[in-house]
Amino acid sequence: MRRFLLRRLLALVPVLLGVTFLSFLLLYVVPGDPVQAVAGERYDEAVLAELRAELHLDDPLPLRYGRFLADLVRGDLGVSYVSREPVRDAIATTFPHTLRLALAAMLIAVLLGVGLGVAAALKPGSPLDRSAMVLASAGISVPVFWLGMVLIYAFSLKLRWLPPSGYGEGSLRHLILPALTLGAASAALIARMTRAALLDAMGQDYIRTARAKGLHPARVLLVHGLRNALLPVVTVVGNDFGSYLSGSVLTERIFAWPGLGRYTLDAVAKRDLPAIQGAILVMALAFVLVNLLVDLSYAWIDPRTRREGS
Amino acid sequence: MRRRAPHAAALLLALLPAGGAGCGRGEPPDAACFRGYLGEEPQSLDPAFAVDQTAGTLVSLIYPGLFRFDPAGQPQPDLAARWELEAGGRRYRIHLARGRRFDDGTPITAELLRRCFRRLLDPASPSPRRWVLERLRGAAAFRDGLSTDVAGLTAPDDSTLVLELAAPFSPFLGLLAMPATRVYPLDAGGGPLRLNGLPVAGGPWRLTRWDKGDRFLLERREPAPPGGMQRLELRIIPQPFTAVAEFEVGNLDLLRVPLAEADYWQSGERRGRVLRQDELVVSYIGLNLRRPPFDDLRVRQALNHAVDVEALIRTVRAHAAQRSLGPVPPALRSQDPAERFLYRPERARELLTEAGYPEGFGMEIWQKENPEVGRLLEAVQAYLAEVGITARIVVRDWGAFKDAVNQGSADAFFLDWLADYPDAENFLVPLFHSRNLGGGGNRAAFAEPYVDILLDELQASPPGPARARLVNRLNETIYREAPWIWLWHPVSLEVLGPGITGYQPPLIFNGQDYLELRRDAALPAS
Repeated sequence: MRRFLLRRLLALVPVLLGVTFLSFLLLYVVPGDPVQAVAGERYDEAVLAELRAELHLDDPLPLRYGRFLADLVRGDLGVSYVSREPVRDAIATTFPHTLRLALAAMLIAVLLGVGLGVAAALKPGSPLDRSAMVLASAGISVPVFWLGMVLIYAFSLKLRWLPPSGYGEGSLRHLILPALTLGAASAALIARMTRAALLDAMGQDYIRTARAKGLHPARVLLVHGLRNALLPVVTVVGNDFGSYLSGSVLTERIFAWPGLGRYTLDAVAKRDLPAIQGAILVMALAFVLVNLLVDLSYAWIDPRTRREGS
Repeated sequence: MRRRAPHAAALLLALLPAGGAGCGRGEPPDAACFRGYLGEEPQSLDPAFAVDQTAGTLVSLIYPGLFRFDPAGQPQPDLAARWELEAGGRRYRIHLARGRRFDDGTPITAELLRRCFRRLLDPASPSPRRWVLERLRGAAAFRDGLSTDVAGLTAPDDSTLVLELAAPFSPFLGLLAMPATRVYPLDAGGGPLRLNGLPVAGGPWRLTRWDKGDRFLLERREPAPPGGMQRLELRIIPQPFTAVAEFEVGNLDLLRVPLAEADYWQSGERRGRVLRQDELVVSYIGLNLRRPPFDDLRVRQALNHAVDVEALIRTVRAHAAQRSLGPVPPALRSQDPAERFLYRPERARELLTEAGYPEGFGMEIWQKENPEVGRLLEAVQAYLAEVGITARIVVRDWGAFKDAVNQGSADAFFLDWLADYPDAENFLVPLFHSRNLGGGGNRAAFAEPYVDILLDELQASPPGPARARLVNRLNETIYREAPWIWLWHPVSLEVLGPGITGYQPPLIFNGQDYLELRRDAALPAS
C-alpha cells in the first residue's frame, strides 16, 4: 500500500508540470493584453510599454516559464499583475473558503443522495421511489444559477430563515444555502446511482445468503448491500468534490462567497496571468489529490481491489 | 400539526451559530454603522494604481487629498486650507491645513505630498494614472529621464505646495480631487505604508478590517454627531440580484437598483423612494473611422437615423437614461445641438444610397461580455437590418475586447465613458483629440484638425461664458460629425433603507464621503 501511495504521489509531479505548461501556453496564445486591465480606461502607450517591461511580459515564453518554475520550486506563485500582492497569499485566503463550501456541499449531497437512493431502493416502483427519482431528475437538470436564486428567494426573502449571501465570518447559517445549491446536482446523481447499485446488489447471492442466515433486514441492506453499492457512488463523490475544489464559480458569485472560484473568474476577466496560473495549479493539485483519495477508498470499501492493486 | 414544521425548522436554524457580530448584524444591531456594498473587489488600494471605480471609491474614503469632490461634483478643500492662482493661471500655490496627520502620527507635509505626486509621474513605478499630473511643468522631461525631478512640483516649506503647469488648465482642481492624487505615508519601497496588511491612512475613514473578497470595515476618524454613522461596512456583492435580496431583508442601507429591477422599483409606492441621479457617463457605439464605410459622414449619419434611441431608453434602459445629444452630459453644458438625429429609417436609406451603399453592407459590433449590453445590441442589430445593414455582434472578454478596440481592429464597439472629474473637457479632449487615439480614449479615431484646435483652446480657456460657449460649440460639432451612434447618459437609481437621511447620490463616483448620513430609526433585530 505504501509503495502504491508513493508511486501515485510521484506521478503527481509530471501531471502538475504538464498542467502548468499547458496553461502557460494557453494563456500566452489567448488574445488580450494583460496590462490593459492594470491600465484602466485611459492611459498613454508609454505607460503600457513600461508596465509590460516591469511585468516581464516582453520576455520570450521559455524564459517566462522557466522563471515561473524556479519561483514555484521556492513556493512562490508570483505577484498579481492587478493587485500587486502575492498570489500565494490570495490563494491561502480564498482556498479555505472554497474547501469549507465544498465539504459542506458534499456532506449535503451524500446525506441527501444516499438517503434518497436507499429509500427509493427499499420499495422499487412505489410512490416514494418515483417521487425520489423525480426529485433526483430535477436536481440534475436545474441550473445552479437558477436554483441559487430560488433558494435565496424562498429561504431569505420569503421565510427570512437564512441570510441571502456573504461569508458571515464563518457562520453556519451563511453556509447552508450555497452548500445546498452546490450540492444539489451531486445529491441527485448520487441518489440515482445509489438506487441502481443497491437494487443490483440486493439481487446478488451473498445477499440471499445473508438473509438465509437470519440477519436483520436493516443489517442486510446497510452492511451487505449498501457497502457493495458504494463503489460507483464514491467515484461520483470524488469527481464532484474535486470539481467543487476547483472553484464553484457560479455558486460563489451568486452568494458573494469569497472563494477561489470567484478569485479565478476575476483573474481571468482581468488577464491576471500569475493569479490564473496559481489558481489553476492549486485546482489541479486538489483534483488529483482527491482522486488519489478516491482510489484509496476503493481499497477500503472493496478489499478485492487492494489485492488486484498489489 | 403540519403547520408547525416551518416553525420547528426556523427554531433549528436559529440555534445555528450566527458568527461574529458584524456591522449591524449583532444584537442589538449597530445603528451607528452604515451598510453599503461594492460590486467587485478593488484592484488596488494604492492610489497610483487605483484605476477602477471600486478602488477609487475606497481610496478616496481612506486617504486624504488636497481636494475632494462633494456629492454635487464640486472640488472642496481637504488638505488645502487656501490657494492662490499665479502666473496667468499656470501656477497654484496651495497652503496646507495645519495639524493634519496620518493614523501612525506621521505629519502630512507639503514635502510628503510632493513625493507622492512625484511617484505618480515616476517611470520607475509606472502608474497608469500618470496623465493626471502630466500637465506639470517638467513632467515630460522627468518621464524621459532628462531631469531628476519635476520642475513644476515644489514644496518651499512644510505647509506650502507649488504646482506649476506647462499651460493653464482650468479643471485642474478637479484633477487634485481624483483618487490618483490622494496622499499616503511612504514605505521603504516608496509605496503606500501598511501596518498589519491595512493601509495607514488619514482620510475621513480608517480601514479597520479587510476580509478579502468579502467586506471592508471602516471607522470614522472623528466621533460622529448623534445619529451619525461611526462605522461603515462595505460588502462585496458581485451579483445585483443578491444585493437586492440583501437590501430587501434589511441587511443593506442602500441599494443601487439593477436595470433588470428598474421597472419594479419605479412603479407603485416604491417610486417615491427611488433617488434618481443623472450620471456623468456617456454610453455609445463607437464607429471605427479608420475603416470604410465609416470614414464617410453620410454612412455615420445614416446609422444614427436608423436606430430609435428613445425606444431603446424606454425598453432596454427602463427609462433610466437621458438621450445623448453629443458626448458632453447635459449637466456640463448649457445648450443642446440645434438639429438632432431623429429616428428616420427612410432618411437613413437615402444617406446610404448617396454614399454608394443602396443595398446596405455588413459590419461587426464588438462588446465585452455583458448580458445587458447584449440585449441592447440585439435591438440595434434589428434596427440596422431594417435599413439593409447586416450587423454581427462579436462578444469578447474585457481584455481581448479592449485590445481589439484600442488597436482599431473592430468596425464598431459599445462602450461607456465615465467622468474622471466633472468637466466637459473630460468628455471632449480624451475622446476626440487626435493625439489621444486608442488607449488615450479616442477609440473611434476621430481626427479633425479644426476640432483639435478648438479642443486645445478649451483646455487653456478660463471658466466663464466664453468657455461655456466653446463647450456647446464643440459638443454640437462633434455630434454632427457622428463618430459614434449616440445613445444615452445613464441615470442611476438608488434606494435608501428605512430611517437613513443625509444621503445625496453623488454626481461623480467618489463624491460621497458618507459623513452626513444619519439613521433616524432603530435597526430591527437581526
